[in-house]
Amino acid sequence: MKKRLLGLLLSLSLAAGMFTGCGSKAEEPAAPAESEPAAEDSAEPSETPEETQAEGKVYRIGVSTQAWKYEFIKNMVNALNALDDEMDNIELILVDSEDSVEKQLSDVDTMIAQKVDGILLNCLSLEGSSAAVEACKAAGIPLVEFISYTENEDYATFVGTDVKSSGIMAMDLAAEAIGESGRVFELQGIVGHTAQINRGAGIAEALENYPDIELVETQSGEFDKNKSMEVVDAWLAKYPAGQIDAIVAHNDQMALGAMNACKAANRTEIKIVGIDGDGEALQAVIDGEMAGTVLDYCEEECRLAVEEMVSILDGNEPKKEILADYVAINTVEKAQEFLTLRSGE
Amino acid sequence: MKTEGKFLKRENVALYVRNYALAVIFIFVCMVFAIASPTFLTMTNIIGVLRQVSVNGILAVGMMMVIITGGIDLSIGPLAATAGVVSALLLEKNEGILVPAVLAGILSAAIISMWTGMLVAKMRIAPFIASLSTMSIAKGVVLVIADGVPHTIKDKTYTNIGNGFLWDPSKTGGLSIPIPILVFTAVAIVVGVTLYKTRYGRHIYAVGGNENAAIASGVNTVRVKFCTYVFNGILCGIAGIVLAGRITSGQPTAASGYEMDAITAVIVGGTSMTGGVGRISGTIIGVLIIGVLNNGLVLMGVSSYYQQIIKGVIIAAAVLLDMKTKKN
Repeated sequence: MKKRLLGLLLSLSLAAGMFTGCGSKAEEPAAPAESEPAAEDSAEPSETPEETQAEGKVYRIGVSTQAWKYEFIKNMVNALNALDDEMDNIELILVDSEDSVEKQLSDVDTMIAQKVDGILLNCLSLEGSSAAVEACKAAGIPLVEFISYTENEDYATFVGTDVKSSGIMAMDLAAEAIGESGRVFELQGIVGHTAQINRGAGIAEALENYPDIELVETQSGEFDKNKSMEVVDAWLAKYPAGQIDAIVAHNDQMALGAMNACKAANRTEIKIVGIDGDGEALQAVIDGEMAGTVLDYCEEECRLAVEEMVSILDGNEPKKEILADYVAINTVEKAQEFLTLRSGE
Repeated sequence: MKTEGKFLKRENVALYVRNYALAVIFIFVCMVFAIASPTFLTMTNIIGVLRQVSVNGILAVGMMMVIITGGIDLSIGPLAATAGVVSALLLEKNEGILVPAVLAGILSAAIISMWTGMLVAKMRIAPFIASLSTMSIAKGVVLVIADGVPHTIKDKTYTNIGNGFLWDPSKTGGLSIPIPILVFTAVAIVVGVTLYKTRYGRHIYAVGGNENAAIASGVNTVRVKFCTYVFNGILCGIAGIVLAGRITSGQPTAASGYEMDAITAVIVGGTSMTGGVGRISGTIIGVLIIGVLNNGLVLMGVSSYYQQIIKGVIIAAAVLLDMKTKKN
C-alpha cells in the first residue's frame, strides 16, 4: 500500500512539475508567431514617446483580458506577446479571465500581490469589473484600460476605439459597394448590448449621407451566425431577387451567416458587410464572397496601451483617452495583409 | 527498542497520511507554489485567495449536502445570479432598503430551488434532469427580471459584502479578514452543525446511504430531499449576494459555470457521488485546493490553456489518492 501511495504522490508531484515546463512552453508558440509588421502602419496616431530602454529598467505589467477562447481576444493576446518580445523594457504577465468577472477581479488582486508596476485591463464587464479599478487605486498601481472600459472611470487612460465609427465605416463600405443607391438590410446584434447600440447608431448616422439608400428592414441576429442565417433566409424568401442590394451586419459572424444563406439561395449578388475583421471574414473578402468588413485593429490598440503604460511609468502625465482608428477592409490586398499578420507567418 | 520506536513513528506518519490525505495534498500543492513563486505566501496574496474561494466555498457546501442525499444540483449558477439581480433591482428602485433587498434576493433563489426540490422529491425525477430543468428556467427568469442587462449596485454596504474587510487592512499592515470569508465561515459552521448535530442532518446521510432503509426506519425522505434542495437554494442566494457585492452589480449571466467548480470541490473533498458519505472539512479543503491552484498557476504565469489541463490532472490525482488511502 505504501508503495502505491508513494507512486501516487510521485505522479502528483510530476503533475505539479508539469507547469514549470509548460510555463515556458506556453509562451513559445505564440511568441515567434508575429514578427510584427504592424509597425509599418505608421499612419496611426503616434504620440508615443520613444521607448526608454536607455535606463535598462524593466517594468512588470500585469494584463487581465477577456476570455482567450474568442478569436478576437486571442489576436490581442498574440499581439501582446509579440510586444513583450519586441520591447526590452517591459515584462508582461498575461492572465485569462475565462469569461468570469469574479476571476478577473481575483486575477487583478493576484497581480497587485505580485507587486506589478502597472496593470492593463481589458475588462469583461462595464459594471462588474469596476472593483478592479478601486483595487488598483488603493494599491497605487497605475491602470490603463484597453479595448473595453469600466463604468468606474478612475483609471489613468483608456485606449480603444470609438465603437460608433465602426458602424459608420461599415455603412460607408456597403454604400460604396452598391454605388450609393439601393435597398439595404441591417442585422443587429443582441438588442441592448453596447456594441449593438453604438454600431447601430453609427449605421444610422452614416445613412443620412446617402439619400438614395433605403434601409428596408432591421432585425436582430443576436451576434450569432446561425441566428442570422435564419433571419436572412426569411428575408430572401420575402424579397425576390433584385430587392435586396446589401446587408450590413453588426459583426462578422452574422455577416458570414448572411453570406451562407445568400450562397445557398443563389443570391450572391447581395453585398455583405460585417464588423470585426475575423479571419473567416477576411478570407471571405479575399474570395469575393463578402463586400467588406471593418477591422478592429487590436494589435495597434495593444501597442498604444502598452506604450501609454510605459509613458505613465516613466513619469509622464496620463492621456486619459487614446482612440485608435478602425481599418476598412474591402480589397483582396488589405484582407490578405491582415490575414497574414494574424496567422503569424 | 530504538528501532521499534522509529518503526512506530513511521507507522504513525503513514497513519496520518491516510487520515489526512487531503490536507497533505493541499499542503503539498501550497509548498510547490511557495517554492515557485515568492508572492504566494505574502499576506496580500493569502487574503486574496481566501476571498476568491468564498463564493465557490458557499456553493460547494450546499452542493455537498445535495450530493450526500444522492442528488446533484446543476442550477446553482443561475440561482446565485437571481439573488444578485433581484437585490440589485430592488435597491435600484428603492435606495436604502439593503436588508430587505438582500433577503428578497436570497428568498427568490430559495423559491426557484423549490422547483428542483419538488421534481426530485415528489415526482422522483432524476436530480440531474430536474436541476437541468431548473437551470434553464432560472437562466431565463433572471434574464427576464434583469431585462438582459447588468444592474449596478451603488450601495456601499452591499459592495462591501464582496470587497470589504472586517477592519481597514492599511492600519494593520495589510492584515485583515475579508467579509466574504466571514460569510463562508458562518455558512460552513451552520451546515456543519446541521449535518452533524441535528436529526435532519442524520436523515440527509440516511437518505443518501440507503433510501429504502431510511424509509423503513421512518424517515420522511420526500421532505428531507425537498428541504435539502431549498436549503441549497438559500446558500446559492447567499453566494449570489456575495458575488454581486464583489462585482458591484447584479448580472444575469453571473456565476455561469460555477456548478462545475462547486462539484469539483465537493468531489475532491472526498464526498461520494453515490451519496451517504461526505464531510464538511473535506469540502473546505477541496475548495481551498481549487482556489490555491487557480491562484498559484496565475502567479506562475502559466498560460490559461495549460492551466485547465493541469487542473484536470491534479483533480484526478487528488481524488485517486484519496480513494486509495481510504480503501486501506
